[in-house]
Amino acid sequence: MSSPATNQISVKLVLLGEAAVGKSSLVLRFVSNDFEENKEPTIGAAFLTQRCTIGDKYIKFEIWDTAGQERFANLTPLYYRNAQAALVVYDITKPASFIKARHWVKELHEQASKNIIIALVGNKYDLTLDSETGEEIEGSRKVSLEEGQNLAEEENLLFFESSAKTGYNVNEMFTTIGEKIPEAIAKKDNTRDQSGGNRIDLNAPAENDIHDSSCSC
Amino acid sequence: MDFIKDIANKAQRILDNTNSPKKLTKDELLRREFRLPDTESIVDESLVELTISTSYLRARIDRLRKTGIFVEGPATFNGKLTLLDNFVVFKDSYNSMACSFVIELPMVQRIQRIRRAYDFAISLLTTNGLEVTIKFIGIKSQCELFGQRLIKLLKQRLPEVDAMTNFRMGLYSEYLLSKNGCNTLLVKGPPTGGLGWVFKFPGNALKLNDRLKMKKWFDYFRENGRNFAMVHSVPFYKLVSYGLPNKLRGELWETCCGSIYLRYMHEDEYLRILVDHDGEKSFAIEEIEKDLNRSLPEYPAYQNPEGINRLRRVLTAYSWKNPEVGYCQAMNIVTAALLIYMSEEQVFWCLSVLVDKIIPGYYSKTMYGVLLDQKVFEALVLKTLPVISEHFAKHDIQLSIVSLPWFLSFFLSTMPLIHAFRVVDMMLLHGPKVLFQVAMAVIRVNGDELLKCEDDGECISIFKEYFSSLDETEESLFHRDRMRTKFDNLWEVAFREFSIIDDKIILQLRKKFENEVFQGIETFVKRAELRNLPKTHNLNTEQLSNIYDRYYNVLMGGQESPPDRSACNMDFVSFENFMSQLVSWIDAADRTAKQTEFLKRLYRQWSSADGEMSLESLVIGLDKIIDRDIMNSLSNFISLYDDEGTGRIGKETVIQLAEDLILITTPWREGRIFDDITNQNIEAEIAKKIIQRREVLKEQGVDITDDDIKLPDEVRFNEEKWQGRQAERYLTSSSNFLKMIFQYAQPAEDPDKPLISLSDDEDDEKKDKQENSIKHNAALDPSRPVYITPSTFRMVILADETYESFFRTEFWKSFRVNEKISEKLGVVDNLRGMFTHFLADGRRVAVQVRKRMDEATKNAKPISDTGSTENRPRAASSNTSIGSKSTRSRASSSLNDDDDDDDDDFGNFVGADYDELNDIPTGGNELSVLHDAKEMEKESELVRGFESAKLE
Repeated sequence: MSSPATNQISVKLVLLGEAAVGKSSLVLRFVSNDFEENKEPTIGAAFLTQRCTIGDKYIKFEIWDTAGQERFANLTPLYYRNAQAALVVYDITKPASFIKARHWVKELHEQASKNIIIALVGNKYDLTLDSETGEEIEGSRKVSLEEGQNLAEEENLLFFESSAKTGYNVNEMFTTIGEKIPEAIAKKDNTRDQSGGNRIDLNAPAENDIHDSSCSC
Repeated sequence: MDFIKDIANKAQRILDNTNSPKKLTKDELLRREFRLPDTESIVDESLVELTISTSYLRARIDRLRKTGIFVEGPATFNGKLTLLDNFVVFKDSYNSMACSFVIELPMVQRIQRIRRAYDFAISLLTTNGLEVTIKFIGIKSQCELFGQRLIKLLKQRLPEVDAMTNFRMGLYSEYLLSKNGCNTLLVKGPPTGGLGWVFKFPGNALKLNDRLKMKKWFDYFRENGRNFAMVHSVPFYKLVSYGLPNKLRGELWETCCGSIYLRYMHEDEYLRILVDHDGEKSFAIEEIEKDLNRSLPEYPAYQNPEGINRLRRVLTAYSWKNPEVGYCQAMNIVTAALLIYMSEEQVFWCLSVLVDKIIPGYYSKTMYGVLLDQKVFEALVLKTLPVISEHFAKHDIQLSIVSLPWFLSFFLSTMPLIHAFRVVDMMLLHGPKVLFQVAMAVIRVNGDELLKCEDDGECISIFKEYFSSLDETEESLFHRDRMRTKFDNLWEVAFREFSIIDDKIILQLRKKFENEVFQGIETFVKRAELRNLPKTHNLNTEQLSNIYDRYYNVLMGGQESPPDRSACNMDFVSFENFMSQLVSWIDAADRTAKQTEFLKRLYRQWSSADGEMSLESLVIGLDKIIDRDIMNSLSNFISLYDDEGTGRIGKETVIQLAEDLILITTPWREGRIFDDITNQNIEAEIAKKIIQRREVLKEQGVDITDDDIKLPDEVRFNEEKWQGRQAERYLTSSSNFLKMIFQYAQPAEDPDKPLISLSDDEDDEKKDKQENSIKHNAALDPSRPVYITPSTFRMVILADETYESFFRTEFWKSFRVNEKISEKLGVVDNLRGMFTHFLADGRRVAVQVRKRMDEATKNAKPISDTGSTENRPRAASSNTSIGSKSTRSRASSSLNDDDDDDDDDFGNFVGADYDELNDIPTGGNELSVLHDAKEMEKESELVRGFESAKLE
């Protein structure tokens, strides 16, 4: 085994947010740098992995992309169990999705692992820009940048506005999480040794960098 | 009609639940067994011995016999024949797979009595050629009664025969037989239904042996009937298990699951729903629209408006038919799949049976069904494949999150379609156990691989790879020398090895995990719902949680039911129930008209603009009414009477208001609860007594400092006396209120001028009274409309000592928002519960008394005049209260009424026998007052405690 592999860290990351805010699209952009207009709805949850190098760390993101339909919310505790990171996604053109995001943040703070790193993501940034001029289209944005920032500050979250369609800020949010993760894991490992949540894969088989295994959907 | 039926069904469901959720009624069991509509009930039943034959069967036997082969005639079966409203059904008692049938009554063409000497026998001939000879076993007269009932029902159904014939013309089985000259029914063109007829059926028909399967079914139909009169025998189950042929699949699906009966009985309902709701919008429709383009997108019909529109119509119609479910993602995939083989209407009814009967709770708002079944599945894996289960546990792999989509979409989103349809074939016939059997087999055949995987990701890729390779051939698992596809192996493992998984085991395991799963959902739903409530000013999180629990407890009737409730609004009856649990002045047992009227007012004022009382509107209302600031409280209270929102409250309403105040203050008027004034007076009296005693001790030369005075642990007071005084105060206040409020009422004509001048001559009482009564009457004079304003109300209440004190502390406290629903105890327990409260409370009284005493001694001269204590200005300590007076006083009163035997348990705390406060124990000589030996012992113990405390 090459030495970088010994540094590989598995990070369980869960995406939460209202239906059709672009959770699956963010993952698709991150994992295969692709975008689809009519993506199939996620039943239960989709599972994908992506490996990347951040600084001197090799990180394997194990991404649980959850279904957004309200009633599937009851299933999400299954997925955010032991998650080390979460993306709470809303659509900056849909105020209701922001309210929902607020709820998800509270839910995670109350129920998820203590050290979970949460990023608040306002997606569909592209919809607020005129594709020709690149200027903001008046009235297209329904959740202001400040509102997002304020919530992030209040709740101690990372914050990004992004576009899965153009790729804006997508890699950045995963990288930032990746940068923060090792600290959290290092701290954790002092107290509890390799039990449960943090699987440090010492002998990970060499796989394709992009290993897409969607959960049977 | 449907509305009434709906209510009837709901009522039935509630009744069924209350009877015992475990035990199904006989009707229900039978309906479930034969997949009959919910409306059917048993008319009669009898043990029978029967043979079934058709002309084709006889011809085949004859043919064979002619060639010299000996064949037995039609077999005889023993079992129970049941007559229902629209059906006659039979199942063999020894081997249910050997013979069972369902015949819808209009299919019976002829019924004949067979003349026999000793028993009763009949023969039935169905329109599609089934000849059933039935010999009844039992008392002859009862058998004859069965026969008479059957004939009566047949006569009633006679007018339906044509409709049924027409309906059958649309079935492919009838066309198939007609085309081959084996049908009395002449069907001209082939009935088409599913999208498959236009856009091709998935898979290669040749490879699927479609022709051969069709031939087998053709033979089966000729000899065993079809659709509305069909016998199920061993070959039937085998044929289903082989996979259904494309063109018959739709009809056989609806025959297997029984949705065909619903489609026949509710002709046009599907179209009617679509027409009735044409153009309407709903949340479900919004959600459906999002998914239309993403349902089996690889199938050509769903890249075409025709397919998309059918999908839209079926999903929309279903969301209207069953708004409790509405639309759940995964239903799009299931519906899209069914539409390939079935017409829209067929799918609509099939979906109904699936969602309501076969997989209840899977698509519900909380998806409790599918969550529960994942638990069941994990338990089954642990039971039958413990090695794998242990491995998963060791590596923290959660199987349920992998298997959830399998169950939710019956493998339609997991396996290639042609294979998933085989699962659907079996599931519609055998029910949900099929999902478990197939899922278990998937784990079992991948066992070796799974034991190598170390995390969720690896586990998921193993399954993904496996499902995409189902067509690959491998060695047969059961016959080592044969090659077959992976799917065939899976199939055999599922229905051979895991045939042990039956409905009974599944039901047992569901029962076992029900609480755990439901509670998990409950907590989650509750958390989410509480978070969604608007910000409250007076109710804290814990109190909201208590209200939430009580709200749903009332709505669910305290029954354990699946946690499935959205848009659960409270009707008035439930609201009345809720309030009677929450509020001390509402009597659940004695529902007076007055009480109902007041609650109706609250209900009306609190519910939202559309007249619905949701948890949110209830919380907002409660939050307002329990405001602790007296001015807010009064404003909020009077606003309940401002029906028009004009700020002017008319005379009639004011009278009502006054009556409502009497109602609300009942427990205080009746002395069941002591109010702040009474409590303070009691405290003052105790304090006075103690101080007096101290004086006495001082005079006797006992050297005491302030610190030496220890308060007794228990307090006695004359309860009746205080009750009487309080009652008097409330009565006076209520009559004063009515008087005052009309004194200050304003005539509608002249809003500024009060009806009488404010300067009453206080000295001349007689004159004043006289004048008052005149003016009072004038105010009640219907010819002179008057009104009051919120400020008049506030002023009148604030001017009344008792009512003011009531609104300042008693009113908001009377809403027992701190009480948890789980603290609902039995009568005896309740008494004990109150007793402990009382204990704690007694000490608090003592603390108060001590404080007062300290104050009194500090202020130099002790208060020795009783009158001055009682008339002490209220304002000084109106905010100090003794805490849960309600419980204390209730405890004491109930003790006095009910339980003489147990008196000694409580006796030290109350004693109506004792006069005033003479018995605060300060020394041994007071023991002479006691007459009960037991009590005496206790008392002396306390005294000793008191003395030793004093000596310290």
